[in-house]
Amino acid sequence: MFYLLLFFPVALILVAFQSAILNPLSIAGGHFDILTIFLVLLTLYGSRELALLSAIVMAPIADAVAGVPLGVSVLPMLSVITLAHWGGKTIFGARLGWPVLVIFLGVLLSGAITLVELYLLGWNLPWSDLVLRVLLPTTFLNGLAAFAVYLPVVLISERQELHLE
Amino acid sequence: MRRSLFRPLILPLVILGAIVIIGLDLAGFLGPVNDVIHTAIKPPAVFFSETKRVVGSGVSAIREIGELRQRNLELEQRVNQLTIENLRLAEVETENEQLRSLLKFAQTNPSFDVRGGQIIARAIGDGANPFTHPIQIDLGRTHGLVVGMPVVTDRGLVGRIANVYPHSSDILLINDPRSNINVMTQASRAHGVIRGRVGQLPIMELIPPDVKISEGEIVITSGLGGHFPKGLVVGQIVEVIRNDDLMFQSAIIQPTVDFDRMELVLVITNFPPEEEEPNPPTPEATPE
Repeated sequence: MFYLLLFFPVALILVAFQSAILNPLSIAGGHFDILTIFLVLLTLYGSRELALLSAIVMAPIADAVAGVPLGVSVLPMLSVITLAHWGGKTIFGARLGWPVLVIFLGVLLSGAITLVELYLLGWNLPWSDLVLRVLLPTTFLNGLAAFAVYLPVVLISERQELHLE
Repeated sequence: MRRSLFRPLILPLVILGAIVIIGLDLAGFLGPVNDVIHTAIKPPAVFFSETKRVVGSGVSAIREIGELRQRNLELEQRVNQLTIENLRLAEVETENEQLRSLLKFAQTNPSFDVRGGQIIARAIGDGANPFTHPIQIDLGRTHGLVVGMPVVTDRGLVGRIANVYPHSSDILLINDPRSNINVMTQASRAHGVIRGRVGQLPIMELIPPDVKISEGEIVITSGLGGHFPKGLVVGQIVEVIRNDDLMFQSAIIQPTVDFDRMELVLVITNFPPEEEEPNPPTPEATPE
């Protein structure tokens, strides 16, 4: 309960920052996604449970601001967290490449899940345009941006320095 | 012990929670929650929006200073100081210009009751949902807004109110894929429907094949359907698409409003729109 209360203001600020600052900065149709980056960081350097709790708070806020039914973003966020947790524990450890790959795959996967959810909820969406002009540019943009976000995190982490050595 | 027992339950609980939340929202039980979220997010959204505007003005000023430095080194320092000192003043002046333009629109259209609204945030575009781009303004139910009211600037039609919250509202832009608007060309009086598209200019469709339309023609609302007043400027034809195999002509439309630079809008409050879909609107795009 404490975490839920703690995450509410954090989620408000993140969603407001995403909506007011990052979303207008569209590059070739893509947008930076601070929410996914936050969730991956929380999963890899905090815990999966913490990330799940933050997702259940953050998703309805993000949905309300996006004008879609509340709760639509929970499953996409869940997919990102699961991907980060699974890969962080099994295949790649927590090396630099894994968070970048998680961002890349996570944005793609969460976008696809969102599309399917909206379709199932009766939204009439131009699929090909949304995939080609929004989802793919967003995926590539966030994959590239992940380098800039995670490189300092890894460099200042002693554990990561040992791994890299 | 309790903690370890609870952990495996979090994932199914979150999934269950998502399904419950979606179900409750679709059933219309989460309207108050929506209102609370929009009320709570307004202060940080306004803060970030204002910060972005001020920083943007600062960046533009710095660029101008750089150009001046190249042109005239002797004046560089003075221009630098003046720019910083006048930064706030320039911001106020820009806002005044916009307000004057909006006032002009109100004066030239005396039949409309209008309310001025400031854009406080563009809705989240990716991550949570990259596929919708409503714009939020700082006027809501408490200011008398209802779903369906037309939104304009002095340059033309912006869209209509899609969702209304206590202190803010979402605008469905005319370039949104869910937006269909009945329009006609000003000169040739050809009727059609403008449909928004993702990442592309809107397209005017269903234009009768026997009417000759041309590039550069102004497109205005036709008033059919009762969702918009007749005669609001929507855009200009930039390309005509004719195909003998098709029953209708189409035309690519350049909206007169620059949605990326738009900061202030007017909501026409005395135009009674036809009955709208409930709040939040159903996603199916329906013509006026």
